[in-house]
Amino acid sequence: MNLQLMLIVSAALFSLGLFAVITRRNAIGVLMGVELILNSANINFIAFSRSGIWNVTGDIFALFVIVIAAAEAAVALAIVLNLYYNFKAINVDEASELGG
Amino acid sequence: MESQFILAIIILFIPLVSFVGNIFFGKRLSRGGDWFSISTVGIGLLLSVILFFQMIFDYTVPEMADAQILFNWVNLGAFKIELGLLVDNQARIMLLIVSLVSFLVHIYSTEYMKDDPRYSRYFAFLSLFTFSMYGIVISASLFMIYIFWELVGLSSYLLIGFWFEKKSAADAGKKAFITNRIGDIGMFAGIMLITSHVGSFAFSEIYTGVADMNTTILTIGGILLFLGAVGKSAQFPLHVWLPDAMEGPTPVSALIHAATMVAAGVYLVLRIFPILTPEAAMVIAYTGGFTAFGAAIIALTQNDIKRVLAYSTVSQLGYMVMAIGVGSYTAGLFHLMTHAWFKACLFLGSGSVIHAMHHALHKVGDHETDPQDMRNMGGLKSKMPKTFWTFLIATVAIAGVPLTSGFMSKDAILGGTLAYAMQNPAHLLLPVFGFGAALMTAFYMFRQVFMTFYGKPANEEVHQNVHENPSTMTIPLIVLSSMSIFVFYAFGKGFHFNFAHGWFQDLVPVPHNLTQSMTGFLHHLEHSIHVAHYPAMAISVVIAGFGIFLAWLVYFKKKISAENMATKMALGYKLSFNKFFIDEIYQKRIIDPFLWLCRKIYWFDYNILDQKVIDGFGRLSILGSKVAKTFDDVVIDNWIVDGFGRATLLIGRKLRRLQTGKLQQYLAMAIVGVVILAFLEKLM
Repeated sequence: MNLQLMLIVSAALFSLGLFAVITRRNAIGVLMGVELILNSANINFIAFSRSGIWNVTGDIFALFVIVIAAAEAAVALAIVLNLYYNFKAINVDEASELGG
Repeated sequence: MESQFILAIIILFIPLVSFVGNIFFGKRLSRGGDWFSISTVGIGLLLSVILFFQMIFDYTVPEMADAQILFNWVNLGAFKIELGLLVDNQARIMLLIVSLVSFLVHIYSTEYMKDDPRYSRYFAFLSLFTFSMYGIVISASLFMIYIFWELVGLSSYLLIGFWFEKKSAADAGKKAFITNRIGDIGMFAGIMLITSHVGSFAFSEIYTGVADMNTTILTIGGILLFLGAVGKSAQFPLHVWLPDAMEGPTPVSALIHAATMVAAGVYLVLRIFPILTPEAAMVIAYTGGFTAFGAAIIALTQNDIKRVLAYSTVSQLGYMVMAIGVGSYTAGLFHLMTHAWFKACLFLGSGSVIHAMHHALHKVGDHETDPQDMRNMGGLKSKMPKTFWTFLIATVAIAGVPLTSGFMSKDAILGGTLAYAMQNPAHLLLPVFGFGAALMTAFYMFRQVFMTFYGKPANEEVHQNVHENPSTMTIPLIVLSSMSIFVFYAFGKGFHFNFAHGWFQDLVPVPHNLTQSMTGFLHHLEHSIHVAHYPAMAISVVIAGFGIFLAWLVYFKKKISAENMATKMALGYKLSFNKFFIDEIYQKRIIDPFLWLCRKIYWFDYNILDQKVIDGFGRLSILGSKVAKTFDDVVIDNWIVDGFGRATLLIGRKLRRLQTGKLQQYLAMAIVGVVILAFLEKLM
């Protein structure tokens, strides 16, 4: 497998995730963007592990990341629920009590 | 400590006690505290008499080391200041003179100053003066003598200007003080000159310490020290203060200008006699001779009863100074003593006349006539017999008639000057001065007696009201006049009668620790003194008789008109009457230019230094402050300090816009930031 190709995919995935985090007004959309970023990191771990260039065994981290992402999603969704209770919306723009 | 020093210390400080007491509490004491002053001076007199008779019974001339007690006041190794007492025979005699005259003047003043509003202050000042004078007499060091010298100057200023409401009296006090100060500068310089070589102020060390001193410098030092005496003893050219000092109360004149203060100068010359060189002594002799002669000329034509006596005093002081200058040490002090008695008597007598005249004029309601002008007197003999007889005895004494003290002392001085001139014929002028002054003294003193006590009264009504003064005034006169009789001075050891050589000559010999050149000089003189003694005596008797006869002709018999004589010798009369215009010359040549200079300096001070320089600095600093203030306000405060504030505010206002509270925006910015940092890292 071509490492470079894998890294490009992961970078693209990261960029998409980031783009989603920045631009999505919907909090759920933002969370989805975060998932994309986490998964791009997973791809990197596995890609480097498979390539065997530096003798790294990061693939095990991918497992951790998946578990943590699941936990994170649960927590984040709970926050979004709270957000919704407070603002009657899940639009992140509207949750701007703080501001100069 | 031997008894004489204890007595001397008590004598010295007891008038100070009465000064302090009277100046602070005088007004609250009964009779203004005069009894306090009189009793302290009385104790001083008693102790002085004890010291005096101790000397008479011991009949020895003590060695200097035995007569003094010294202690270091300041000790800086090579330089030390000693204070101490020197109670030798000279000091004992002076103590008696000062305390007796002071005591009598105190008693006399109780009547003379009776109605004065500052009665107790007067007695306080008298006591202060007495204290200062005692200090000079028993000082054992030049430094201590200088302290008391200035104290005498101060107290004489206070006493002369005692009636300071009168401008003339206030001016006279100032004049005396300033004139004395001129002499004192010389004295101070002399003290420094001598002391810087010897390294000590004590007389005993100075006498031996000057032996290896350069003769020229020693001569200059002696003359400088003598300058102090020129001021105090009213010698030409600093004699001008003494006649003016007659503005003070008459008893003060008797105390200050007859017996004590003016004698201090002569006493100083006696004290420095052992360091004089023959050259310095010659300067002293000529100063004295010239003063004796010139002052006698002035006294001839004065009409103020006290002014005649004032110039007579100047003249007699000239005698004493001349005597010391020609080496007649003993005669100088002898004349000082005899003169103190009869001149104090004359002053107090004139005071008695003035007092009586003043009251008589007051009674008549005449406030215009001068009670001191002899032309307004006349015929007082019958009205004031006690004053007249005592005045006459003193006059006879000062004229140098035989069987008086004045004859003995004056004769000794004239003999000394004659011997001096015989030894050095170039100095013929000195005996001429001496005998000339003696002639004039006899003349003007009897002129005074005739004008005051004889003849027709100038104003019959006033004359009727003149009365003899009470005994508080006449008893001092009687005591003082009796001291002018020869018997007191004409006994030797064990009270044996010896007219020519009494106790005084034995007890006050010429000191033996003289400078080398002076010792030789006096040794040569000794023979001439023996030769000159009898001729001098004869001439002086003839001259005194002639002077009295002349005065008798002019002022008693009126055979010769004084007015005619005055017109015939118009120039001489004018010079004498106007005191040789010395005061005017001083005014025109010294005081006026000096004042002119002072005014110019004042103008410079005020207009240039004060207005331009000092105020200029003020104005400059105001200007500078204004500039600094503007700089502070504009640059530092407005621009820098406020600028930081404004800039912070501005930047804050701009940056505030970043804080939107939108997380996504923050994140975007964070990413942009990371990208920029990544780029920067690449670039680096």
